[in-house]
Amino acid sequence: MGTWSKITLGAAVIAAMSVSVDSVRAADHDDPPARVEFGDAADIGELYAWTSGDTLSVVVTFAGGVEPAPNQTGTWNRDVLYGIHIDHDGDGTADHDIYVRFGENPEAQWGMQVLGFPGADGPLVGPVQTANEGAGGLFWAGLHEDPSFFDLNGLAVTLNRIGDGDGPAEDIAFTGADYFAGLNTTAIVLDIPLDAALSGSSTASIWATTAAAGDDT
Amino acid sequence: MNMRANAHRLVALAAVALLVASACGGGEDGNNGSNNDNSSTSNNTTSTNVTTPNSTTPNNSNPSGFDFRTEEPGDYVRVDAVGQPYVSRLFVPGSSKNGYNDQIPDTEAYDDAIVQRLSAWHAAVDDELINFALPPCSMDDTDADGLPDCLGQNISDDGAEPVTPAQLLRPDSLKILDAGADAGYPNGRTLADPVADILLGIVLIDQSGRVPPDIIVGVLNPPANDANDGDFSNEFPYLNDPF
Repeated sequence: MGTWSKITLGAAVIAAMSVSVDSVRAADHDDPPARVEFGDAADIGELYAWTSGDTLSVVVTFAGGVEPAPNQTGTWNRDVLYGIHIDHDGDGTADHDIYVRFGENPEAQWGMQVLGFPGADGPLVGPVQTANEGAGGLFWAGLHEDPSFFDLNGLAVTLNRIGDGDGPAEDIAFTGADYFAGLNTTAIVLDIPLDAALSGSSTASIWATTAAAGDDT
Repeated sequence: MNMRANAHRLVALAAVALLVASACGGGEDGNNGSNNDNSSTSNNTTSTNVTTPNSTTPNNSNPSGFDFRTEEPGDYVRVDAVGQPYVSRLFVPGSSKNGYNDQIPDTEAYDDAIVQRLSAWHAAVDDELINFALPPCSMDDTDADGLPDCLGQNISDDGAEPVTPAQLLRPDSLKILDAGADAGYPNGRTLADPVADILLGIVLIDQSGRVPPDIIVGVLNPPANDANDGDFSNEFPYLNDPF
């Protein structure tokens, strides 16, 4: 695991504690700043993963924290590649790289393509907003209410108030309000056969990524 | 999850911690002949065992004719990443987030920054924790294991395999600690888990007295999702319908 060194509080720390309101919105949902904003197709919201029985379920929300609108659909961007990476032997590298991307057909219908689904012989393809079956599992992408619950505004305001960070906090602004209440997000959901995902291991590390393609010509 | 009283004062306390931390993420078969340039300038994604379909692949698995890109995953450029929930939000300075996210899950280069942030959290909130009879953990390395005590303390239940905050935070990835045990953060993450408050409890409060990791759940942040009375479906795809 390496060595962590104790850092003596000093000027650098105090300076580091000063944060802008905008930067607080960062860290998944609108993170990293200057690359993505709320609602961007490549902005990961949250990653969830849990096991139940013989299934590993993974949920990745993206383009989230958006106000509901009539006839709202998921945020589909052909140029974004979503990655879900599973390391089940603890060597620090992914044993499974699962990739999801979206495409539209001439009828203006969107579909999802899943590459590297554990146990699958090839790509899995199906329409969005549909529980698609493949390789003994399920795959889905669609618009949902945003499952995040966090007082993001309270955090931002409080960060600014304690910007000097040289002592106990005063005037903390958290109220317990849910920034994400009433908002929607797009999500990828996978149910993966546990044996295929973990190859018999009882432990795993999982992370998600987004990446952008170059321009078409 | 348990809730704790005197929410606002302790909320402020935990908020400080958060703030301090936070400042501081047809191509295939049936692609109808739409070929895409494999254009990119750098490669922040890796593909270890993925077969990318090409335009000559039979159309059998894409009967609806969706037009997907055909580039190899390695030709895309990373934009965002997330592993362990709320680590970047709590512990990585804004100026470092791009670099940090590009390194996920191998974020060892940011260890000192994380420790720095966490130390600042403690400077801001420890007095208040004490006022509420919640012993703050120490950022000293009293057991000489190379870790500040807060990051090296065991957060597991008695009798369970020991787990430390450091093991959760690095590499920065979501951990399945025991696939056969009940799921719930930090053993994976379910939709209903109030992870921010749990994580704060883990890294701010001394766990040697077996203070429950969820002791400040609901103090800083809402304890549950707003829709469906905080519940999620037990059936795939588990999420609530959109508003």
